Amino acid sequence: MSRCQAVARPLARQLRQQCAIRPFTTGAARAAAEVQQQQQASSTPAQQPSALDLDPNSVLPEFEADLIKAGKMPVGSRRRRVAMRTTASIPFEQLPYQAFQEARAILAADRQEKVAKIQEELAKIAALESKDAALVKGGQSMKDTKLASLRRYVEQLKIQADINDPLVKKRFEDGLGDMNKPIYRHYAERKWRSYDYRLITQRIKQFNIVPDVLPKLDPVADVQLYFRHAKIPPGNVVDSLVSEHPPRLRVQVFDAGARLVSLVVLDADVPDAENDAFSKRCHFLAANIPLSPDQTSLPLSRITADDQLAVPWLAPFSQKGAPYHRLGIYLLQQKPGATIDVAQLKQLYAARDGFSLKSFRDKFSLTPVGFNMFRSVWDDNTAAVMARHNLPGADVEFRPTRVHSLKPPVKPRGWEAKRQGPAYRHLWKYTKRIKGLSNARGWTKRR
Amino acid sequence: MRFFTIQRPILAAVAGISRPSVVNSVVAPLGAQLANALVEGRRNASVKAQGAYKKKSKRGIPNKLGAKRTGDQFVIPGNILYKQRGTHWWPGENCIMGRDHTIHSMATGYVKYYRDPAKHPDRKYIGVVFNKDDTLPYPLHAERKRKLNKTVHTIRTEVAKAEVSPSGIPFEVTRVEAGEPDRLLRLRSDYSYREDNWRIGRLVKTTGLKTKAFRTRKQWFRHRRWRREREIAGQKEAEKKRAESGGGGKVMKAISKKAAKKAAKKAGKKAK
Repeated sequence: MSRCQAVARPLARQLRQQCAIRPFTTGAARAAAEVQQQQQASSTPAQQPSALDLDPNSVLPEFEADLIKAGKMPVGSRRRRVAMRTTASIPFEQLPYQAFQEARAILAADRQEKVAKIQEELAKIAALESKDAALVKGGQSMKDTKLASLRRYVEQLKIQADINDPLVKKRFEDGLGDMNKPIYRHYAERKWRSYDYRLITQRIKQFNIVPDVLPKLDPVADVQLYFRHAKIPPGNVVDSLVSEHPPRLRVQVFDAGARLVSLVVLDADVPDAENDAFSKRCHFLAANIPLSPDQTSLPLSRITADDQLAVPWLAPFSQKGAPYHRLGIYLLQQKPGATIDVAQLKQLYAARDGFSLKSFRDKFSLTPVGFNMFRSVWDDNTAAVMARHNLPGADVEFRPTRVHSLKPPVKPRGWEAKRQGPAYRHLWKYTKRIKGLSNARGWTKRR
Repeated sequence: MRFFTIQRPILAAVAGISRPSVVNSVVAPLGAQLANALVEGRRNASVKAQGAYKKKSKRGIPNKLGAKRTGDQFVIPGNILYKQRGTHWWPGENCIMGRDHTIHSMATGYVKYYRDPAKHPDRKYIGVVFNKDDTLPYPLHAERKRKLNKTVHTIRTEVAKAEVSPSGIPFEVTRVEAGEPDRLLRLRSDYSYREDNWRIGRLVKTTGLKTKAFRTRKQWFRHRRWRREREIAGQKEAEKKRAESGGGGKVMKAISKKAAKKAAKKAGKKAK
């Protein structure tokens, strides 16, 4: 504090006490009264610390020393602590800060403007809808384009109206946002795109999901994977004992409305030793699963209905020595209003092996919207899991095939090699049984 | 030079004229000699040699760069396909590039030299395909062609060893003593029970003894070097002292400065 301020401070305090504080809200007035009371109280010498004085967030300067002695450091500045004392009981929107309230007024005005604009656009849409297509320049196609464009603009405005509301932001960050409202979906999508989307696209690229399983895959929904209540980051290797039971998915879609989706869990690395190649296997297939922005939990074990479950969960396994298996979870959106005949699916894909997601997608005109993946390798529990589910192949292992050199074998050279035969029997004591050199199968090159 | 080329007929004429006139003379006149030398292309030592820098050296060590396998040739993993300085060629399908930009094969198959505008507009690639008829690059968004490169073998299970020898006594016994680690004793061919030598060696760790004063060999050598340096320095000092005190005989005891001062003070007090 500068000297000048130090001199002026008691004076200012006197003045402040005399002139009436202009209350901004009732809360502020109450706070001011409280502050005054406290000031009066603090002027009296002997006093007991209140509950607020024992809290490091709201301790007054005179009780700081006691608190520090007790091992609790006061939090923040003294100004902040006084503010915390006075504003704890005031709702957020009524906080007695003039700049804050002014800013809120500006934001409210902006929101009014946006709402008015929305109404205007909605009126336009209604007018255009009621208009005959023949009267619109460009015919039916132009009318549809215009309507779509207007609706898109309305959606944008809906987000714009609420995007500056601190309470909306707070509610979203507390996880209380209503996903049926566009603003919360907007926030959620922005959050997802900032990290999880990038991660999942990286996994799609680095694990070659895109050329191997689908020619194109750009997820638009957030799919999270949980095994036994533990979230599995995409691409992690999951123990076969953990993945024995079907996982739970948390699916968040960012566009409005309910829709039906199909769910496929596909192993893209089934070793095929006869053809010296890899094939694919379907580990789970379900269709007609309802999904909407506010329904996020999707436990695979709960999908049991006859018109949903086509191929039940098969525990992922990997044989010994085989490279890791990529198990992808693919969420495919069905056409609006279209349901898939699950009996047909059962008939088509009961064999599991040789499942092609590309052909499944084309056959039922689906669009892939969500993706997640995990990996499975041979581990200590795999043999037991395979035995439990009657899966053959736990007793075999894959070993790398030896590739022999293209060069012709060369005769061993050297003094000893030349003297290995019986003609040099008198030299055998020098040419045989050489330390550190196996000579059992004839003279060999030292490895 | 130009002068001479122009004047050559004249010079020749001069030479022709001069020759018959001095038929018997052994040495031709100096001017004519010079002219002749120039005409014939001889060079005397007084004239500096030129142009040697243009001659290439006859032999050097060849780098042996270039293609080591032609297109469609059969290769196995690890084969060198192309040696180069810099990246004239890039590794394509089933190939990798080594530390010195050498292209190696990574699969058993057939070599293909190709361009892939989808990957890079002006790079040349070397790839290996599994089928000789395939052409590179493979179509965009097509599934990768992969080979398992593994064969199936039944897992060998270890045969459980009998715990008791044919003579009815166990192969292994454990000696348990309080306050000591358990010791595993094994039956030997002479029917004695003895611990494995490597297990005995492990026991050192359980004692908590510090066998080495120095953590690393380097530290030990450094310490030895310093110790020797200190010793040599001390010996030199002692030698100097000895020389000062009259070449041998009684050696003065080394006293620190502080101690000397104290002794002097004490002596002074006594004198008083």
